[in-house]
Amino acid sequence: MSASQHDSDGGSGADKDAFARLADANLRLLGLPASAEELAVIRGADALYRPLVDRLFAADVDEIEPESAFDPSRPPLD
Amino acid sequence: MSLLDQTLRDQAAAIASGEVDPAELLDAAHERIGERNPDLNAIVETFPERSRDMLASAPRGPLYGVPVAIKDEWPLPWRGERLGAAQFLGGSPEAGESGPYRVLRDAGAVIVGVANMHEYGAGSTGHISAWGAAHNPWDLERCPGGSSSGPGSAVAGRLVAGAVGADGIGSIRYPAAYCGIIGLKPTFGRSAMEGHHLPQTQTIVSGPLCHDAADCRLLASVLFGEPLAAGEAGGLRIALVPGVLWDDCDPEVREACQEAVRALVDEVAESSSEEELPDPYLVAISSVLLGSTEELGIAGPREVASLGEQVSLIARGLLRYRLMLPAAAIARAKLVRTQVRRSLARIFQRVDVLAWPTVPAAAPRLENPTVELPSGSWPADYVNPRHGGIANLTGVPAISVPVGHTAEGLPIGLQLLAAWGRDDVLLDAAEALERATERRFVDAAPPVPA
Repeated sequence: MSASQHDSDGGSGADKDAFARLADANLRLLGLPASAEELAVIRGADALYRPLVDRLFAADVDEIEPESAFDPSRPPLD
Repeated sequence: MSLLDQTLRDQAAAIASGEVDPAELLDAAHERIGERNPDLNAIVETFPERSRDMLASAPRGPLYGVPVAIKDEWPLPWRGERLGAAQFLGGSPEAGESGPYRVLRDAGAVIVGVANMHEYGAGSTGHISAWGAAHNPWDLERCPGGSSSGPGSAVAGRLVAGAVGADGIGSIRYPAAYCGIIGLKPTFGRSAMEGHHLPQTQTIVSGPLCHDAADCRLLASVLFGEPLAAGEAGGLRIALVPGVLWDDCDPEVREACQEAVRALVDEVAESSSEEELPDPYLVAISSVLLGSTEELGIAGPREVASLGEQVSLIARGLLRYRLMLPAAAIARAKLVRTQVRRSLARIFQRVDVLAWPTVPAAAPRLENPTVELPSGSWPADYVNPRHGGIANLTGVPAISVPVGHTAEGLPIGLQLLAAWGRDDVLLDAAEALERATERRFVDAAPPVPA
């Protein structure tokens, strides 16, 4: 597949929906093109995981004191 | 019955007593792989000369002469790991003496083959691999689980009695549950890990997949480099975690696991109780985010951009998606991790073992790896980390024990978790569960492929 094909998600900018434009812009910032098929996978993943990420940002965790000396082989020291 | 159908212990004892010639057992293992592997695709590479060389120089260790398999995640002196992928991320695979190879060799074991895995270890089903999917011996149209798909399929299919897998977000326990065998995710840092392609990992461990708990104890002792003494599990304090981990399961899975917990309580428990944990969905997304973050060093934009079409479309899309997620989510996932670790530390002062189903539904179809739950139809990869991710997020050990079959004959697994360093308690509890169920499920063998 050529770079130009990678750069396209199957249509011109005007044809893209908001998600495709946002994803495309994000990926361009990373210098990472995506094909239409790859964008479809990204869209599917986002439909599943975005609610969980939103839940993570809405979770009441700001008051949690970060663990000191994190070591996954042992229980927390504090 | 062939010795290959028996346990690691039986095979080791038969060799040690002189009853069996280990060279003949090795030949038989190759013959068995030749017969059954075309259906299972559990083993992706054999190397008979290398295996014979291992046997010729094998020390008289606890696994002297016993054939085993190792996941395609570990380098061997004659073969670099491929991670079930057509294109390696972050350089080239290099042959070498990985930790699991070294401890197997030093125990006298003979590596008879490399076992399949889900591409890049990034799936709980095993339905995607550059080697082609491994198949579930209980139903060849079903997923064997992942990412240690080959170890699960190879042990359940009696190609070998034991295999070494790796578990980063449940990757030993899911195939154990789907394939009706036992799989132990050790306490973080306890099992051999040298030579892994993610040396900085804080979530991944090597671990055993075997027919029963005593074999798991034997192979875990080898991987840990220290004996794991057996106890009676008497006076065990068991707790359930009510809520979504039990309620949002296929009813057959829920009922079989409930029955198993009742049997375990009757067999050995001093008490049973209920405990609360933080939101399982937060635990799941935190374990996925932190686990996948460990790969960013080798899966940055440049590496992902270099992936060709020989890599699956799913992997190419998901690796891109991972790079789009906000970095701030990682900081919050670490706070969730702290919350859950503190919560587990408090709980394990009161109880010895927590229990819930290893996976919410039995093995899905390879062609459509989705599961039907009370909450709806979901990709198995989406719901399984809700059950398995907590052990990797926090570092505690966890085990999957076969406890039943669905009406369609598919295995069901119960997961037990214990405190850091108490892998022995899990093995004791699993053995007690085997006694309580009269070994019906650990001794059950899938239909032999034609």
